[in-house]
Amino acid sequence: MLGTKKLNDEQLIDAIKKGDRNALLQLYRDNYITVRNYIINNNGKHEDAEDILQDATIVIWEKIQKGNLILTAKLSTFVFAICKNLWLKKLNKLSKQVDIDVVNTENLSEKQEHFSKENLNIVVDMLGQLGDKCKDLLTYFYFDGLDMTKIANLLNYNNADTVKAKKHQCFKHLQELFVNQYNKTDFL
Amino acid sequence: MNISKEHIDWFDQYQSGTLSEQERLDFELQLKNNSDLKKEFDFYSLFVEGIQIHARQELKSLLKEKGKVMYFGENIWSKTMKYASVAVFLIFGGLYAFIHFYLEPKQKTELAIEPKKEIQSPIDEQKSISEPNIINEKDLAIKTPSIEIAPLEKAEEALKETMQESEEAFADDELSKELMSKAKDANEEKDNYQIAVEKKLKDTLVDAQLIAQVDFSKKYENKLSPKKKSIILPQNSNIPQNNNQILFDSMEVKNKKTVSKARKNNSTNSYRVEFWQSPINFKGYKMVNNTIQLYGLNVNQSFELKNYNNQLYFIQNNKVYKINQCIDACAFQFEVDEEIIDLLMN
Repeated sequence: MLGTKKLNDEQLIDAIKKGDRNALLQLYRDNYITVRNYIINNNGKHEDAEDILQDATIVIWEKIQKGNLILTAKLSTFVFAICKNLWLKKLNKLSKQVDIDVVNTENLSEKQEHFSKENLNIVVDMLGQLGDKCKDLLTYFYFDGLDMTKIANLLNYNNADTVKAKKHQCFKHLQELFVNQYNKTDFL
Repeated sequence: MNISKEHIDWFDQYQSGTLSEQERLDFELQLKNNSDLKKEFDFYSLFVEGIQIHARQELKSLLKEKGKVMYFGENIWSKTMKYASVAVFLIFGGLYAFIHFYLEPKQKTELAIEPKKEIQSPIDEQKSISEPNIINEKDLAIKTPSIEIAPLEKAEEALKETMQESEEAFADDELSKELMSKAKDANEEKDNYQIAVEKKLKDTLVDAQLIAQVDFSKKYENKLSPKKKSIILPQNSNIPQNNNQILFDSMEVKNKKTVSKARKNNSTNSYRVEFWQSPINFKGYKMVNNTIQLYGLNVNQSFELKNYNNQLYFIQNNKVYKINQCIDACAFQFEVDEEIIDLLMN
């Protein structure tokens, strides 16, 4: 875990790769004022700045976890570019004007369009009903992309096989919860 | 729909990109041809996407809760601080308003003295003007009608001349009779002057009202008794005019040489006694140099001023007050020594 010492870019990326949430908080705080000033100076509000920076930080997190982040500048520059992109996209949605040069970032809502929004909401709700350990395990595997050995270390399981078996159980449990809820709401 | 364990592992491998190229192509071909497998994969993808959305939401909540940055301007100057500052402002504003609009007028009302209709002598007038915070000369100049200045100045000059002459007269025995007559003239002149002053001081506000002023000179021989008195009382000080006359007439000039000599050698025996009324009913006195200001004593009763063993005593109504130099207001001290009292009273 991180102490109070401030990490440089490389240390931050390494910590995020290991699933350290405190590193993510540092990344967020380090870039807060810059992003806030930019958004407020561009017709945004304080709340918009927070929302955009949170989304950008999560994008960075996912990119680091998937190994897609190739740093050619400072991490803060990258964060600011993502924030700028997200904010301009949001402004475009509002004003329907496209006159901006943006950095390509993953659109968080693209994948969601493949699924029924209601079904996704049910899955998200059902995850809340799972036990904390199941939820953490599925999150580490499907969101953070950690391998079974790392998850075993983080969640104090004996080995990777135990984690694998536990993951099947959790996934099955989630399916059952979903089906029950799905039948209740007469989706099929 | 239920996804089998094997299919979950297979889908995991495809999603994570750990399948070989051939395995991936084979998997994608089967997805195209096998609708059941396609349904299972869509179902699986739905869960994976749901897990990721949930994870993002949790991260966002974490950032929202714990990622707050304290910076001057908004976070520190939060709503609570704004309310606190407004509360502080209201408290101090209320306090100021309370003091300014409630307490101060109340104090002014309590301390206010009705403008006295009493007449002051020219000496009083000079004294009042010379004292700070009693009369604003500027206000006086504005408020005083120009018509009244002429008699005042005239009376002042006349009285000053008389006073000078009277001083000289005391120094010379032969002039004593002339002094008496001129003093009477001065007294008459004073009456004229007082009429002018009465009008003039009506508009002035003073902290304490001078009720009477007495010039008192004495000379000690072997016994303790004043040898000379000159009392000037205001016309409307409720002292009967005949009483004033009696006091004036009782001035003793028995041993004029001794008196004049004493005045030359020891001018500190001459005291100015002033009777003051305090708005807070203070009883006591002040003594600066040879001026004694007495508070809370009856101005209508006669008194004596005596010196015994370098201690000054003020005697009135069978009471013997010790008088010492006192710049601030001092409480009265009574003489307790019976022998001294007897000596002074006799």
